[in-house]
Amino acid sequence: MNRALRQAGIAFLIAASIALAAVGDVVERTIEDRLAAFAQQLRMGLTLSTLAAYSPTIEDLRVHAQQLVNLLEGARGPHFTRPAQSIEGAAGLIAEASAFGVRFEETLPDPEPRVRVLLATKNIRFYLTEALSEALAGLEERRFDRASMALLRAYAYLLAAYERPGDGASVPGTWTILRAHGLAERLAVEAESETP
Amino acid sequence: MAIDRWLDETKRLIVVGVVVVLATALAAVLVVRSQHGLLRETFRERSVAYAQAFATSSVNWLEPLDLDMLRTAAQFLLLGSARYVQVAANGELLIDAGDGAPAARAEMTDADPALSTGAFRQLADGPSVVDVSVPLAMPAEGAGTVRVGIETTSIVSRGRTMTWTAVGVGVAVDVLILALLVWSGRGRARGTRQVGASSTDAASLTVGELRVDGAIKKVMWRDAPVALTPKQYALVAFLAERSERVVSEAEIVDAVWAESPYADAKDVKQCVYLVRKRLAEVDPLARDLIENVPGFGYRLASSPVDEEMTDG
Repeated sequence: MNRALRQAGIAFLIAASIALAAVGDVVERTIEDRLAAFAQQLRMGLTLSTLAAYSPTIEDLRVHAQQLVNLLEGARGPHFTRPAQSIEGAAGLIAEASAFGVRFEETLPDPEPRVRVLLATKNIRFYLTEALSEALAGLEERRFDRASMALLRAYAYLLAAYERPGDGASVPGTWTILRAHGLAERLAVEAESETP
Repeated sequence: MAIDRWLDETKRLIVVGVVVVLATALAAVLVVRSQHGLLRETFRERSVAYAQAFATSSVNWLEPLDLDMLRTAAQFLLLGSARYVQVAANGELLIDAGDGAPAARAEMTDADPALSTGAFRQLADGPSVVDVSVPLAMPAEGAGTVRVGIETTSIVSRGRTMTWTAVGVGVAVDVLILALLVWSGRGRARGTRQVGASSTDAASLTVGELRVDGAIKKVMWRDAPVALTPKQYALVAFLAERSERVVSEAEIVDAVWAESPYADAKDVKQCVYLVRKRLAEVDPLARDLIENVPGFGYRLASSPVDEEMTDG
């Protein structure tokens, strides 16, 4: 009972903290702030996928996989589950990536960054959708080893969406968009510190 | 003789049964022990990998230090099996979440080598945990450690399920083997009795004025042949061989219908009725040669008995 209460409390704290970080003033925030928050949540997605893939039990795997699904889909997603809530109120990474695409179509005038940024946005949407499919597959899988593999694949897609700047042959992803908006320097230290 | 055989067979069954039960119990214990060990080892390894995954991911929030997100990431673990999470870096205790954790120390910058591969530990307030301490993957210069306690409840319950499954399978195997033994023993006993019944096949038996000629498989009453089917002949021969005593219906079933597991007392009654009919065709008096002893069985009398004592 105490443990259940504690978990409910923790879930609430997590929801509150991420919601504070990610939502509330979506309309008011600048695109730079939204991009920084997007990158931060994407890193949280990477954390969740690794935790799920290396969970000691299949029950833990499902808890983390559900948190990942919630993060990707947002509170209005068809697979959002409240008991494992982590981003209540947030739009969800996939929806946010789609919103970026619409916004960049309208606002980016310069052909050079526009092409790369739109390509990056398209790639991110694809990777995130694939990551969601894998997370859902992991949730439904009854065999522990197969579920772990599904979450590892989800991790790989999320990592591709994040785009590691140090890689020689990287496909445009989040980092490309951050660089186009002058956020690369701001987050440079974090990028250099990425350890896959 | 039959009782001796039955006792021998029963003793043999008991000995074999005890051996089978002991063997399956031993096999079940060995299987359960090895599976428990495997379960614990797998859980310990995965717990270490889990803690390492968290330590690696924590880098995201260490530089620049984003304590809120680090705390959030730590809380994710507590939603699952983790009971406590501690994170210390560069001489600073950053996270100390959950309950049941050992006393946290700010100088906890190096992972405890004794816990790097995980150690099972009983918490004071209840469940046991796998206590894991792994180095924090620091992005730059510095040192740190992550310590996680992961509850073992799931493997305890899985182990219990495994034990009960092994017990169930063991009992089922015991029952199956013992049933097969009893069945085969019964078949052997029937075969033995059948051999006994046919021991006089080649001989000739005379009970009063009834003669059973085993060589030509004929029954004669006062030298007149009685037309009998093989089953009817077998019944008369069996009774003639035991004319001194009452034979139960079960004994007759075992001897005359040894090959048929579905034969019962009704078949005996029917067969006795038909034999009496055949005997009566030769001599109405002969009809009452087979005496019915109510509650016990049948006896072949040396001379026709009072009709009122028979059941017809």
